Amino acid sequence: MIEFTNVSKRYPNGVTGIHNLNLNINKGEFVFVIGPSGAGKSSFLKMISLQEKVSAGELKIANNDVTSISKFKSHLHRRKIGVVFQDFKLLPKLTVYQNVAFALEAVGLPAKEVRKKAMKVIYLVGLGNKVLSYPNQLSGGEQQRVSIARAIANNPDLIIADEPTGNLDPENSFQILSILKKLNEEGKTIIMATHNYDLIFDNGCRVIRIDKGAVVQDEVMGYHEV
Amino acid sequence: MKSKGRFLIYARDGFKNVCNHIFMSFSSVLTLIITLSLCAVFLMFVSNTNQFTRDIESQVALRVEFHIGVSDAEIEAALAEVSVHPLVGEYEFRNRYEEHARIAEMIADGDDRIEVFLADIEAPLHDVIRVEAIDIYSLDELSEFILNLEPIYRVSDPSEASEAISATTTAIRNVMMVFIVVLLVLAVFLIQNTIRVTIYSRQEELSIMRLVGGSIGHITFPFVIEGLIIGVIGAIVPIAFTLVGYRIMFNTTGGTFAINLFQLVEPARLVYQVGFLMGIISISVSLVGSLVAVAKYALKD
Repeated sequence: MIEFTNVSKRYPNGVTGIHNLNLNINKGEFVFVIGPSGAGKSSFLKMISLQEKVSAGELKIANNDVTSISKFKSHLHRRKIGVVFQDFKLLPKLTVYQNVAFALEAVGLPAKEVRKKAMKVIYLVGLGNKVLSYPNQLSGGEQQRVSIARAIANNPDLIIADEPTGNLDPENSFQILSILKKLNEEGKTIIMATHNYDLIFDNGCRVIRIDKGAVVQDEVMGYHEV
Repeated sequence: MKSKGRFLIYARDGFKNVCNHIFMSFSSVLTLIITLSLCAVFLMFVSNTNQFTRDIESQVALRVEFHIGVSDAEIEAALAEVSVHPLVGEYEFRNRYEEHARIAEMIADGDDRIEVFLADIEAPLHDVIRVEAIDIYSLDELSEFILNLEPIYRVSDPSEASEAISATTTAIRNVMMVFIVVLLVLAVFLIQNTIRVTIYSRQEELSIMRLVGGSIGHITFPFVIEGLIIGVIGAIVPIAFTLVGYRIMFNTTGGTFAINLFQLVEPARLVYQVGFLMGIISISVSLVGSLVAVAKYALKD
């Protein structure tokens, strides 16, 4: 599903985010990306979500070369990718429903379909009773569930979660993880960056460790060193 | 149906943008109002000066006086030569008795032009021809030709005065045009700045929209609508000013300016033409401003 071939990411200030990365991620995989802060995890995820451009090499997503995709075409690929952030990135002036509907309106769906799909995903993440609440009326875990609902509203094949449990307590973290796991069981590919090693379960998930912009460990057996 | 629903979303967002940055929007609207009102004054001025110039040109004619005591045959011969000259538009012969009657009539009517006319007249009165040239610029050549005819005493040529009026109105027109262009450019910049501030303040929202797959067009269209709303609001006052203001001025002055020679253009058609043009300019200026801001955002890395 995702193919990195000799991919590097260098920033204008001279910092190297990723150096000569070769990696494949298959459809339906649940991949944990771990590593210390500044190791290059975010650069790795941002290249996949097309938030950052590849400086060198080739990146393919779903057999499409997105290495130097035009800004005016990138939205077509982004619609196949859902992104979940550590800080949720919810719009504070919008309700739960509006935050999710906003993502559906952005892709130009008609109002009737927006209503139907938004309600479906809000119930899916267990927030049916909070539809009209504002983000500041929700707990951290609930806010992250809204963020997940927004990410999956357009039914993407790939979900990228950049430290989604970073601001949550253990109980909420496991709840978020169980939602992501459920989505993975439905066939979605999940790539999740985390510092929370307790979450990495040993049931066959793949763990990629990045350090200094390079992959230093890539285990498909779910093993990791804490 | 689908595009109508989408347009309503854009319109809603555009309207929200205007309300959220009400002071910036207000300054843009105010700039448009001032600029377009000046534009309207300028256009009505140009329209009226064009009419003045046409009026002057149509009224400017050579006053050709014969020597005292010339025979009818000599007058006939001179008229025959004048009538076939290619630079002559129209001409009219008046003998000294008809000329006297005309002057008496002008005095009786209180015609504004009589003072200018009397200052240039000699007693006893001469037989005269009033000769109109095909245009104002042919008067000199025509004057020279007629003066060389045998029975002609003198030719009075008012072209210098009318050319001076034309030159003055043209100069004023040019200065005003430069002034208006500068103001229009300023309006474009202000609107562009307003839209940029809106884009900047909504950057997080826009980045989320992009992440969830919103196209550049979808993301930026509300800002174009915002510009359009500013343009429409900014056009209302200048259009009202044009429609009402000119009529009031026309009625107050009785349709003339300074002296009866200058007739103002009838408001009936002029105000609608200028008002329509104000609407077009306002929307164009605001569209250009918002498109420049949107293009800067869209092309930014």
